[in-house]
Amino acid sequence: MKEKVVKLCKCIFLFCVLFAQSGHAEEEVTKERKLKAAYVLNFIKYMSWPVNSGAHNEFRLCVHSDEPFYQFMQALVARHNQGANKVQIVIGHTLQEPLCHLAYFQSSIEQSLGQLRRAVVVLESLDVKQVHAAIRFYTQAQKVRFEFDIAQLAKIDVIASSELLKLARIIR
Amino acid sequence: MSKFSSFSIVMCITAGSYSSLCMAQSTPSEFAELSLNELFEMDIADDTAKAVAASPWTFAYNFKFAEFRGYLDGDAKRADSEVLWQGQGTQRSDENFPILPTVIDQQVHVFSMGYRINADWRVHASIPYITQSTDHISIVPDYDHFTIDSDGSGDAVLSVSHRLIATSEDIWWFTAGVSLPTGSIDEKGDTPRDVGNQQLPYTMQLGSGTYDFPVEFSYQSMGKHDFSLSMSAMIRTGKNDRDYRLGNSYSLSGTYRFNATANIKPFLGLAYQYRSAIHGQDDEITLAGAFPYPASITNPKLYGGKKVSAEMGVRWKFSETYALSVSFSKPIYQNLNGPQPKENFQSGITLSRLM
Repeated sequence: MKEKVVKLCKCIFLFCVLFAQSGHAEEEVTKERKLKAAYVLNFIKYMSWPVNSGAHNEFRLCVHSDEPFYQFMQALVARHNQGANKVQIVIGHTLQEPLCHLAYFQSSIEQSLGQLRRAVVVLESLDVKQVHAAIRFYTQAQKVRFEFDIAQLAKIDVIASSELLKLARIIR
Repeated sequence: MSKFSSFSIVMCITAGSYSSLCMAQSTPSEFAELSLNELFEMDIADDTAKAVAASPWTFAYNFKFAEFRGYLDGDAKRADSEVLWQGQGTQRSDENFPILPTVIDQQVHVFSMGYRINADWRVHASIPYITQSTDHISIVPDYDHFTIDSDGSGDAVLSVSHRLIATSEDIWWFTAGVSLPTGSIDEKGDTPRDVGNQQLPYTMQLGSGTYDFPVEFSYQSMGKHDFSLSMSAMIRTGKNDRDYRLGNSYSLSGTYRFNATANIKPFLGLAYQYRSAIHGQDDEITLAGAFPYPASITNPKLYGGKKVSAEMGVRWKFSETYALSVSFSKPIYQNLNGPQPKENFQSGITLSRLM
Protein backbone atom coordinates (compact mmCIF):
# COMPACT_ATOMS: atom_id res chain seq x y z
CA MET A 1 0.00 0.00 0.00
CA LYS A 2 2.77 2.42 1.02
CA GLU A 3 4.67 1.60 -2.17
CA LYS A 4 1.59 2.40 -4.26
CA VAL A 5 1.11 5.78 -2.60
CA VAL A 6 4.78 6.61 -3.19
CA LYS A 7 4.36 5.57 -6.82
CA LEU A 8 1.28 7.79 -7.17
CA CYS A 9 3.14 10.76 -5.68
CA LYS A 10 6.03 10.19 -8.07
CA CYS A 11 3.60 10.26 -11.00
CA ILE A 12 2.07 13.55 -9.84
CA PHE A 13 5.52 15.05 -9.38
CA LEU A 14 6.64 13.88 -12.81
CA PHE A 15 3.64 15.42 -14.54
CA CYS A 16 4.06 18.69 -12.69
CA VAL A 17 7.72 18.91 -13.67
CA LEU A 18 7.01 17.97 -17.28
CA PHE A 19 4.08 20.21 -17.94
CA ALA A 20 3.94 23.03 -15.40
CA GLN A 21 6.55 25.12 -17.18
CA SER A 22 4.70 25.21 -20.45
CA GLY A 23 1.54 26.39 -18.79
CA HIS A 24 2.92 28.92 -16.37
CA ALA A 25 3.06 31.97 -18.58
CA GLU A 26 -0.58 31.92 -19.59
CA GLU A 27 -2.08 30.58 -16.42
CA GLU A 28 -2.99 33.82 -14.75
CA VAL A 29 -5.30 35.29 -17.40
CA THR A 30 -8.60 33.50 -17.46
CA LYS A 31 -10.60 33.03 -20.60
CA GLU A 32 -13.22 35.44 -19.28
CA ARG A 33 -10.63 38.20 -19.01
CA LYS A 34 -9.18 37.38 -22.42
CA LEU A 35 -12.63 37.79 -23.90
CA LYS A 36 -12.95 41.17 -22.21
CA ALA A 37 -9.63 42.20 -23.71
CA ALA A 38 -10.85 41.14 -27.15
CA TYR A 39 -14.06 43.10 -26.58
CA VAL A 40 -12.02 46.23 -25.84
CA LEU A 41 -10.40 45.94 -29.27
CA ASN A 42 -13.84 45.66 -30.83
CA PHE A 43 -15.11 48.66 -28.88
CA ILE A 44 -12.38 50.71 -30.48
CA LYS A 45 -13.46 49.46 -33.91
CA TYR A 46 -17.15 50.10 -33.38
CA MET A 47 -17.01 53.50 -31.67
CA SER A 48 -16.27 56.97 -33.05
CA TRP A 49 -14.27 59.57 -31.21
CA PRO A 50 -14.43 63.30 -32.04
CA VAL A 51 -12.16 64.37 -34.90
CA ASN A 52 -10.22 66.76 -32.69
CA SER A 53 -9.50 64.06 -30.09
CA GLY A 54 -6.51 62.69 -31.99
CA ALA A 55 -7.93 59.15 -31.75
CA HIS A 56 -8.01 58.76 -35.54
CA ASN A 57 -4.26 59.14 -35.85
CA GLU A 58 -3.04 57.35 -32.80
CA PHE A 59 -5.50 55.74 -30.44
CA ARG A 60 -4.33 55.75 -26.85
CA LEU A 61 -5.52 52.79 -24.84
CA CYS A 62 -4.83 52.99 -21.11
CA VAL A 63 -4.97 49.93 -18.88
CA HIS A 64 -5.05 49.73 -15.11
CA SER A 65 -4.75 46.04 -14.30
CA ASP A 66 -2.45 43.32 -13.12
CA GLU A 67 0.59 42.58 -15.24
CA PRO A 68 -0.60 39.33 -16.90
CA PHE A 69 -3.72 41.04 -18.23
CA TYR A 70 -1.72 44.06 -19.34
CA GLN A 71 0.70 41.83 -21.22
CA PHE A 72 -2.15 39.95 -22.86
CA MET A 73 -3.78 43.25 -23.91
CA GLN A 74 -0.41 44.40 -25.19
CA ALA A 75 -0.14 41.25 -27.34
CA LEU A 76 -3.65 41.81 -28.71
CA VAL A 77 -2.80 45.39 -29.62
CA ALA A 78 0.40 44.27 -31.32
CA ARG A 79 -1.61 41.81 -33.39
CA HIS A 80 -4.17 44.51 -34.20
CA ASN A 81 -1.47 46.93 -35.32
CA GLN A 82 0.05 44.27 -37.61
CA GLY A 83 -3.23 43.94 -39.49
CA ALA A 84 -4.79 46.21 -42.07
CA ASN A 85 -6.47 48.40 -39.48
CA LYS A 86 -6.63 52.12 -40.12
CA VAL A 87 -6.18 53.11 -36.51
CA GLN A 88 -2.91 52.35 -34.78
CA ILE A 89 -3.30 51.72 -31.06
CA VAL A 90 -0.78 52.73 -28.44
CA ILE A 91 -1.17 50.96 -25.12
CA GLY A 92 0.10 52.29 -21.81
CA HIS A 93 -0.42 52.16 -18.08
CA THR A 94 -3.19 54.55 -17.06
CA LEU A 95 -1.19 56.28 -14.35
CA GLN A 96 1.72 56.92 -16.72
CA GLU A 97 -0.14 58.12 -19.82
CA PRO A 98 -0.79 61.81 -20.45
CA LEU A 99 -3.91 61.08 -22.53
CA CYS A 100 -6.36 58.19 -22.77
CA HIS A 101 -9.07 57.68 -25.39
CA LEU A 102 -10.24 54.51 -23.69
CA ALA A 103 -9.27 53.43 -20.18
CA TYR A 104 -9.76 49.91 -18.85
CA PHE A 105 -9.96 49.37 -15.09
CA GLN A 106 -9.55 46.07 -13.32
CA SER A 107 -9.67 47.98 -10.04
CA SER A 108 -10.50 51.56 -9.24
CA ILE A 109 -8.21 54.57 -8.84
CA GLU A 110 -9.44 57.05 -6.28
CA GLN A 111 -7.59 60.19 -7.30
CA SER A 112 -8.88 62.39 -10.10
CA LEU A 113 -6.86 61.90 -13.28
CA GLY A 114 -6.68 64.55 -15.99
CA GLN A 115 -5.84 61.98 -18.66
CA LEU A 116 -9.29 60.44 -18.21
CA ARG A 117 -11.19 63.67 -18.84
CA ARG A 118 -12.27 62.67 -22.37
CA ALA A 119 -11.80 58.92 -22.03
CA VAL A 120 -14.32 56.13 -22.41
CA VAL A 121 -13.97 54.40 -19.06
CA VAL A 122 -14.46 50.62 -19.19
CA LEU A 123 -14.79 48.61 -15.97
CA GLU A 124 -13.84 44.94 -15.79
CA SER A 125 -16.86 44.06 -13.67
CA LEU A 126 -19.83 45.57 -11.89
CA ASP A 127 -17.78 45.36 -8.68
CA VAL A 128 -15.33 48.00 -9.86
CA LYS A 129 -16.33 51.53 -8.93
CA GLN A 130 -14.84 54.31 -11.00
CA VAL A 131 -16.21 57.74 -11.79
CA HIS A 132 -17.34 58.52 -15.34
CA ALA A 133 -17.66 54.84 -16.24
CA ALA A 134 -19.35 54.38 -19.62
CA ILE A 135 -19.04 50.60 -20.13
CA ARG A 136 -19.20 47.85 -17.53
CA PHE A 137 -18.64 44.15 -18.13
CA TYR A 138 -20.68 41.53 -16.39
CA THR A 139 -21.34 37.82 -16.88
CA GLN A 140 -24.62 36.13 -17.58
CA ALA A 141 -25.19 32.43 -18.26
CA GLN A 142 -21.46 31.84 -18.65
CA LYS A 143 -21.07 34.59 -21.23
CA VAL A 144 -19.41 37.99 -21.09
CA ARG A 145 -21.90 40.82 -21.46
CA PHE A 146 -21.58 44.59 -21.15
CA GLU A 147 -23.71 47.59 -20.34
CA PHE A 148 -23.44 51.03 -21.88
CA ASP A 149 -24.10 54.34 -20.16
CA ILE A 150 -25.27 56.35 -23.15
CA ALA A 151 -25.40 59.62 -21.23
CA GLN A 152 -21.77 59.27 -20.20
CA LEU A 153 -20.74 58.59 -23.79
CA ALA A 154 -22.67 61.64 -24.94
CA LYS A 155 -20.80 63.82 -22.45
CA ILE A 156 -17.50 63.02 -24.16
CA ASP A 157 -18.97 63.06 -27.69
CA VAL A 158 -18.22 59.42 -28.40
CA ILE A 159 -20.67 57.55 -30.57
CA ALA A 160 -21.24 53.82 -30.39
CA SER A 161 -22.33 52.04 -33.56
CA SER A 162 -25.71 50.37 -33.79
CA GLU A 163 -24.00 46.94 -34.08
CA LEU A 164 -22.44 47.52 -30.70
CA LEU A 165 -25.52 48.96 -29.04
CA LYS A 166 -27.76 46.10 -30.07
CA LEU A 167 -25.55 43.72 -28.08
CA ALA A 168 -25.36 45.95 -25.02
CA ARG A 169 -27.59 46.47 -22.04
CA ILE A 170 -28.36 50.17 -22.22
CA ILE A 171 -28.36 52.44 -19.18
CA ARG A 172 -29.86 55.85 -19.78
CA MET B 1 -13.49 -6.56 -11.95
CA SER B 2 -10.63 -5.57 -14.17
CA LYS B 3 -13.05 -5.05 -17.00
CA PHE B 4 -15.25 -2.92 -14.81
CA SER B 5 -12.30 -0.75 -13.84
CA SER B 6 -11.15 -0.38 -17.41
CA PHE B 7 -14.57 0.66 -18.59
CA SER B 8 -15.06 3.16 -15.78
CA ILE B 9 -11.76 4.74 -16.58
CA VAL B 10 -12.45 4.87 -20.27
CA MET B 11 -15.77 6.60 -19.66
CA CYS B 12 -14.08 8.95 -17.23
CA ILE B 13 -11.47 9.78 -19.82
CA THR B 14 -14.15 10.24 -22.43
CA ALA B 15 -16.08 12.58 -20.18
CA GLY B 16 -12.94 14.37 -19.21
CA SER B 17 -12.02 14.82 -22.81
CA TYR B 18 -15.21 16.73 -23.49
CA SER B 19 -14.13 19.58 -21.32
CA SER B 20 -10.60 19.59 -22.59
CA LEU B 21 -11.80 19.32 -26.16
CA CYS B 22 -13.61 22.55 -25.71
CA MET B 23 -10.60 24.66 -24.86
CA ALA B 24 -10.89 27.65 -27.05
CA GLN B 25 -8.69 30.18 -28.69
CA SER B 26 -5.58 30.37 -26.59
CA THR B 27 -3.18 32.79 -28.20
CA PRO B 28 -3.51 36.59 -28.33
CA SER B 29 -3.61 36.39 -32.13
CA GLU B 30 -6.64 34.14 -32.04
CA PHE B 31 -8.45 36.42 -29.62
CA ALA B 32 -7.52 39.53 -31.62
CA GLU B 33 -9.23 38.09 -34.67
CA LEU B 34 -12.58 37.44 -33.00
CA SER B 35 -15.44 39.52 -34.29
CA LEU B 36 -18.00 41.21 -32.07
CA ASN B 37 -20.62 38.60 -32.82
CA GLU B 38 -18.20 35.73 -32.23
CA LEU B 39 -17.28 37.20 -28.87
CA PHE B 40 -20.93 37.59 -27.99
CA GLU B 41 -21.53 33.88 -28.61
CA MET B 42 -18.47 32.62 -26.77
CA ASP B 43 -18.73 30.90 -23.47
CA ILE B 44 -16.52 31.51 -20.48
CA ALA B 45 -16.67 27.78 -19.81
CA ASP B 46 -15.11 26.99 -23.18
CA ASP B 47 -18.06 25.02 -24.46
CA THR B 48 -19.75 26.67 -27.37
CA ALA B 49 -19.38 26.01 -31.00
CA LYS B 50 -17.28 29.12 -31.37
CA ALA B 51 -15.13 28.14 -28.45
CA VAL B 52 -13.97 24.87 -29.82
CA ALA B 53 -10.31 24.34 -30.10
CA ALA B 54 -8.11 25.31 -32.96
CA SER B 55 -6.98 21.70 -33.12
CA PRO B 56 -9.64 19.00 -33.33
CA TRP B 57 -7.39 16.45 -31.59
CA THR B 58 -7.23 15.72 -27.90
CA PHE B 59 -5.10 13.39 -25.88
CA ALA B 60 -5.56 12.11 -22.37
CA TYR B 61 -3.67 9.83 -20.06
CA ASN B 62 -5.28 8.35 -16.99
CA PHE B 63 -3.69 6.30 -14.26
CA LYS B 64 -6.00 4.57 -11.84
CA PHE B 65 -5.22 2.43 -8.86
CA ALA B 66 -7.78 0.25 -7.09
CA GLU B 67 -7.47 -1.99 -4.07
CA PHE B 68 -9.81 -4.81 -3.04
CA ARG B 69 -9.46 -6.14 0.49
CA GLY B 70 -11.79 -7.98 2.86
CA TYR B 71 -15.01 -9.82 2.04
CA LEU B 72 -18.70 -9.00 1.84
CA ASP B 73 -21.66 -11.33 1.51
CA GLY B 74 -24.52 -9.03 0.63
CA ASP B 75 -23.71 -6.02 2.78
CA ALA B 76 -22.42 -8.17 5.68
CA LYS B 77 -18.71 -8.39 6.37
CA ARG B 78 -17.05 -11.78 6.33
CA ALA B 79 -13.72 -12.28 8.06
CA ASP B 80 -10.96 -13.90 6.01
CA SER B 81 -10.94 -16.74 8.55
CA GLU B 82 -14.64 -17.39 7.80
CA VAL B 83 -14.12 -17.54 4.03
CA LEU B 84 -10.99 -19.71 4.22
CA TRP B 85 -11.85 -23.38 4.67
CA GLN B 86 -9.65 -24.65 7.51
CA GLY B 87 -9.26 -28.16 6.08
CA GLN B 88 -10.17 -31.66 7.14
CA GLY B 89 -12.30 -31.77 10.28
CA THR B 90 -14.09 -28.50 9.51
CA GLN B 91 -17.29 -28.01 7.56
CA ARG B 92 -16.79 -27.29 3.84
CA SER B 93 -19.58 -25.34 2.12
CA ASP B 94 -20.30 -23.14 -0.92
CA GLU B 95 -19.21 -20.17 1.18
CA ASN B 96 -15.73 -21.25 2.19
CA PHE B 97 -12.75 -22.15 0.05
CA PRO B 98 -9.30 -23.71 0.45
CA ILE B 99 -7.69 -20.74 -1.33
CA LEU B 100 -8.36 -17.14 -0.34
CA PRO B 101 -7.34 -13.97 -2.20
CA THR B 102 -6.57 -11.39 0.50
CA VAL B 103 -5.56 -8.26 -1.42
CA ILE B 104 -6.19 -7.48 -5.09
CA ASP B 105 -4.33 -4.50 -6.53
CA GLN B 106 -5.14 -3.16 -9.98
CA GLN B 107 -3.34 -0.44 -11.84
CA VAL B 108 -4.71 0.76 -15.15
CA HIS B 109 -3.03 3.17 -17.53
CA VAL B 110 -5.48 4.42 -20.15
CA PHE B 111 -4.25 6.24 -23.23
CA SER B 112 -6.99 7.93 -25.21
CA MET B 113 -7.32 10.16 -28.22
CA GLY B 114 -10.29 12.16 -29.38
CA TYR B 115 -11.16 13.87 -32.63
CA ARG B 116 -13.75 16.59 -33.02
CA ILE B 117 -15.58 16.18 -36.32
CA ASN B 118 -17.65 19.30 -35.67
CA ALA B 119 -19.30 21.00 -32.71
CA ASP B 120 -21.85 18.20 -32.33
CA TRP B 121 -19.89 15.05 -33.14
CA ARG B 122 -16.75 13.58 -31.63
CA VAL B 123 -14.97 10.26 -31.87
CA HIS B 124 -12.69 8.66 -29.29
CA ALA B 125 -10.33 5.73 -29.10
CA SER B 126 -8.67 4.37 -26.00
CA ILE B 127 -6.53 1.46 -24.93
CA PRO B 128 -5.82 0.45 -21.34
CA TYR B 129 -2.69 -1.18 -20.04
CA ILE B 130 -3.48 -3.23 -16.96
CA THR B 131 -1.19 -4.45 -14.19
CA GLN B 132 -2.69 -6.50 -11.40
CA SER B 133 -1.59 -8.68 -8.56
CA THR B 134 -3.43 -10.80 -6.03
CA ASP B 135 -2.06 -11.98 -2.68
CA HIS B 136 -3.42 -15.30 -1.45
CA ILE B 137 -3.40 -17.53 1.56
CA SER B 138 -4.35 -21.20 1.32
CA ILE B 139 -4.36 -24.51 3.14
CA VAL B 140 -2.48 -26.18 0.26
CA PRO B 141 1.05 -27.24 1.28
CA ASP B 142 3.78 -24.95 -0.14
CA TYR B 143 1.12 -22.40 -1.11
CA ASP B 144 0.25 -21.00 2.30
CA HIS B 145 1.13 -17.48 1.03
CA PHE B 146 1.53 -16.75 -2.66
CA THR B 147 1.00 -13.92 -5.17
CA ILE B 148 -0.19 -14.07 -8.75
CA ASP B 149 0.44 -11.26 -11.24
CA SER B 150 -0.79 -10.49 -14.72
CA ASP B 151 -0.29 -7.52 -16.98
CA GLY B 152 -0.84 -6.41 -20.55
CA SER B 153 -3.11 -4.36 -22.75
CA GLY B 154 -6.84 -4.54 -22.11
CA ASP B 155 -9.82 -4.07 -24.39
CA ALA B 156 -9.65 -1.13 -26.79
CA VAL B 157 -12.73 1.09 -26.94
CA LEU B 158 -13.94 3.10 -29.92
CA SER B 159 -16.80 5.52 -29.33
CA VAL B 160 -18.79 8.32 -30.89
CA SER B 161 -20.32 11.23 -28.97
CA HIS B 162 -23.18 13.39 -30.15
CA ARG B 163 -24.24 16.64 -28.55
CA LEU B 164 -28.01 16.37 -28.22
CA ILE B 165 -28.88 19.72 -26.65
CA ALA B 166 -26.77 22.81 -26.10
CA THR B 167 -28.11 25.98 -24.54
CA SER B 168 -26.47 28.70 -22.51
CA GLU B 169 -27.62 26.81 -19.40
CA ASP B 170 -26.82 23.18 -20.12
CA ILE B 171 -25.41 20.61 -22.52
CA TRP B 172 -26.50 17.01 -23.10
CA TRP B 173 -24.27 14.42 -24.74
CA PHE B 174 -24.88 10.86 -25.83
CA THR B 175 -21.98 8.47 -26.30
CA ALA B 176 -22.06 5.00 -27.77
CA GLY B 177 -19.17 2.75 -28.62
CA VAL B 178 -17.77 -0.70 -28.99
CA SER B 179 -15.25 -2.42 -26.76
CA LEU B 180 -13.10 -4.77 -28.79
CA PRO B 181 -11.84 -8.06 -27.29
CA THR B 182 -8.16 -7.09 -27.54
CA GLY B 183 -7.35 -7.97 -23.92
CA SER B 184 -6.19 -11.48 -23.10
CA ILE B 185 -8.51 -14.00 -21.43
CA ASP B 186 -5.80 -16.67 -21.39
CA GLU B 187 -3.56 -15.32 -18.62
CA LYS B 188 -1.77 -18.08 -16.75
CA GLY B 189 0.11 -18.36 -13.48
CA ASP B 190 1.28 -20.79 -10.82
CA THR B 191 -1.68 -21.66 -8.63
CA PRO B 192 -2.13 -24.49 -6.07
CA ARG B 193 -4.49 -26.20 -8.51
CA ASP B 194 -1.65 -28.05 -10.20
CA VAL B 195 2.09 -27.92 -10.86
CA GLY B 196 3.33 -25.32 -13.34
CA ASN B 197 1.18 -22.55 -14.82
CA GLN B 198 -2.57 -22.83 -15.11
CA GLN B 199 -5.41 -20.66 -16.39
CA LEU B 200 -6.06 -17.79 -13.94
CA PRO B 201 -9.48 -16.78 -12.59
CA TYR B 202 -11.65 -14.03 -14.09
CA THR B 203 -10.22 -11.22 -11.94
CA MET B 204 -6.73 -11.81 -13.31
CA GLN B 205 -7.73 -11.71 -16.99
CA LEU B 206 -7.11 -8.53 -18.97
CA GLY B 207 -10.12 -8.46 -21.27
CA SER B 208 -13.70 -9.63 -21.55
CA GLY B 209 -13.22 -11.74 -24.67
CA THR B 210 -16.50 -10.43 -26.05
CA TYR B 211 -17.66 -7.48 -28.10
CA ASP B 212 -19.18 -5.07 -25.59
CA PHE B 213 -21.08 -1.83 -26.04
CA PRO B 214 -20.57 1.15 -23.75
CA VAL B 215 -23.29 3.84 -23.79
CA GLU B 216 -23.59 7.06 -21.80
CA PHE B 217 -25.94 10.00 -21.39
CA SER B 218 -24.30 12.98 -19.74
CA TYR B 219 -25.56 16.35 -18.60
CA GLN B 220 -23.38 19.37 -17.92
CA SER B 221 -24.81 22.45 -16.24
CA MET B 222 -23.48 25.68 -17.67
CA GLY B 223 -25.27 27.92 -15.20
CA LYS B 224 -24.13 29.43 -11.94
CA HIS B 225 -23.47 26.00 -10.41
CA ASP B 226 -20.95 23.77 -12.14
CA PHE B 227 -22.19 20.20 -11.95
CA SER B 228 -22.61 17.22 -14.21
CA LEU B 229 -24.70 14.06 -14.19
CA SER B 230 -24.04 10.87 -16.06
CA MET B 231 -25.90 7.67 -16.75
CA SER B 232 -23.86 4.92 -18.34
CA ALA B 233 -23.94 1.23 -19.10
CA MET B 234 -21.68 -1.49 -20.46
CA ILE B 235 -23.74 -3.99 -22.40
CA ARG B 236 -21.97 -7.27 -23.11
CA THR B 237 -22.91 -9.73 -25.80
CA GLY B 238 -22.39 -13.39 -26.64
CA LYS B 239 -19.86 -15.59 -24.92
CA ASN B 240 -16.10 -15.64 -25.29
CA ASP B 241 -13.88 -18.56 -26.30
CA ARG B 242 -13.89 -19.76 -22.70
CA ASP B 243 -17.66 -19.94 -22.67
CA TYR B 244 -18.47 -17.08 -20.34
CA ARG B 245 -19.53 -13.43 -20.51
CA LEU B 246 -18.77 -10.79 -17.88
CA GLY B 247 -21.80 -9.11 -16.32
CA ASN B 248 -23.38 -5.93 -17.63
CA SER B 249 -22.83 -2.83 -15.54
CA TYR B 250 -25.02 0.24 -15.11
CA SER B 251 -24.13 3.40 -13.27
CA LEU B 252 -25.46 6.79 -12.26
CA SER B 253 -23.06 9.48 -11.14
CA GLY B 254 -22.99 13.16 -10.29
CA THR B 255 -20.13 15.60 -9.75
CA TYR B 256 -20.19 19.10 -8.31
CA ARG B 257 -17.23 21.38 -8.97
CA PHE B 258 -16.38 24.32 -6.76
CA ASN B 259 -14.87 27.50 -8.14
CA ALA B 260 -11.87 27.81 -5.83
CA THR B 261 -9.97 29.87 -8.39
CA ALA B 262 -10.28 30.34 -12.12
CA ASN B 263 -8.01 27.37 -12.77
CA ILE B 264 -8.40 25.12 -9.75
CA LYS B 265 -11.66 23.31 -9.19
CA PRO B 266 -12.10 20.92 -6.28
CA PHE B 267 -14.96 18.50 -6.84
CA LEU B 268 -17.17 16.08 -4.97
CA GLY B 269 -19.00 13.21 -6.57
CA LEU B 270 -21.36 10.39 -5.81
CA ALA B 271 -21.86 7.27 -7.94
CA TYR B 272 -24.17 4.29 -7.86
CA GLN B 273 -23.27 1.16 -9.78
CA TYR B 274 -24.98 -2.14 -10.39
CA ARG B 275 -23.14 -5.02 -11.99
CA SER B 276 -24.52 -8.45 -12.73
CA ALA B 277 -22.75 -11.76 -12.15
CA ILE B 278 -20.73 -13.58 -14.81
CA HIS B 279 -22.78 -15.67 -17.23
CA GLY B 280 -21.37 -19.09 -18.13
CA GLN B 281 -18.18 -20.51 -16.72
CA ASP B 282 -14.52 -21.16 -17.53
CA ASP B 283 -14.34 -24.89 -16.77
CA GLU B 284 -10.54 -24.84 -16.79
CA ILE B 285 -10.41 -23.07 -13.41
CA THR B 286 -12.78 -25.46 -11.63
CA LEU B 287 -12.18 -28.82 -9.94
CA ALA B 288 -14.04 -32.08 -10.19
CA GLY B 289 -16.17 -33.07 -7.20
CA ALA B 290 -18.83 -31.68 -4.92
CA PHE B 291 -17.04 -28.36 -4.44
CA PRO B 292 -15.74 -27.27 -7.84
CA TYR B 293 -14.54 -23.79 -6.83
CA PRO B 294 -11.12 -23.66 -5.10
CA ALA B 295 -11.49 -19.91 -4.46
CA SER B 296 -14.43 -17.50 -4.40
CA ILE B 297 -13.09 -15.69 -7.46
CA THR B 298 -13.40 -18.89 -9.53
CA ASN B 299 -17.18 -19.00 -8.96
CA PRO B 300 -18.91 -16.89 -11.67
CA LYS B 301 -21.95 -16.39 -9.45
CA LEU B 302 -19.85 -14.58 -6.84
CA TYR B 303 -19.39 -11.51 -9.02
CA GLY B 304 -21.44 -8.36 -9.30
CA GLY B 305 -23.61 -6.44 -6.90
CA LYS B 306 -24.44 -2.86 -5.98
CA LYS B 307 -22.11 -0.14 -4.86
CA VAL B 308 -22.38 3.52 -3.86
CA SER B 309 -19.11 5.45 -3.91
CA ALA B 310 -18.17 8.92 -2.77
CA GLU B 311 -15.47 10.73 -4.67
CA MET B 312 -13.38 13.80 -4.04
CA GLY B 313 -10.70 15.42 -6.12
CA VAL B 314 -9.35 18.51 -7.74
CA ARG B 315 -8.91 19.59 -11.33
CA TRP B 316 -6.10 21.98 -12.05
CA LYS B 317 -6.09 23.67 -15.44
CA PHE B 318 -2.47 24.69 -15.34
CA SER B 319 -2.37 26.15 -18.84
CA GLU B 320 -4.70 26.80 -21.71
CA THR B 321 -3.99 23.35 -23.10
CA TYR B 322 -3.29 21.14 -20.10
CA ALA B 323 -5.38 20.00 -17.17
CA LEU B 324 -4.45 17.66 -14.36
CA SER B 325 -7.09 15.94 -12.30
CA VAL B 326 -6.49 13.95 -9.13
CA SER B 327 -9.27 11.96 -7.50
CA PHE B 328 -9.93 9.54 -4.68
CA SER B 329 -13.09 7.49 -4.25
CA LYS B 330 -14.26 5.08 -1.60
CA PRO B 331 -17.38 2.95 -1.48
CA ILE B 332 -19.77 4.03 1.26
CA TYR B 333 -22.12 1.12 0.65
CA GLN B 334 -21.60 -2.23 -1.06
CA ASN B 335 -24.00 -5.13 -1.46
CA LEU B 336 -22.17 -7.90 -3.27
CA ASN B 337 -22.97 -11.37 -4.53
CA GLY B 338 -20.70 -12.95 -1.99
CA PRO B 339 -18.61 -13.87 -0.36
CA GLN B 340 -16.73 -11.53 -2.67
CA PRO B 341 -13.66 -9.29 -2.22
CA LYS B 342 -14.86 -5.74 -1.59
CA GLU B 343 -13.42 -2.59 -3.05
CA ASN B 344 -11.40 -0.65 -0.53
CA PHE B 345 -10.66 2.51 -2.55
CA GLN B 346 -9.77 3.86 -5.98
CA SER B 347 -7.52 6.77 -6.80
CA GLY B 348 -6.51 8.27 -10.07
CA ILE B 349 -4.69 10.93 -12.01
CA THR B 350 -5.77 12.25 -15.39
CA LEU B 351 -3.67 14.45 -17.59
CA SER B 352 -5.45 15.84 -20.61
CA ARG B 353 -4.16 18.09 -23.30
CA LEU B 354 -4.98 19.37 -26.72
CA MET B 355 -2.77 18.31 -29.56
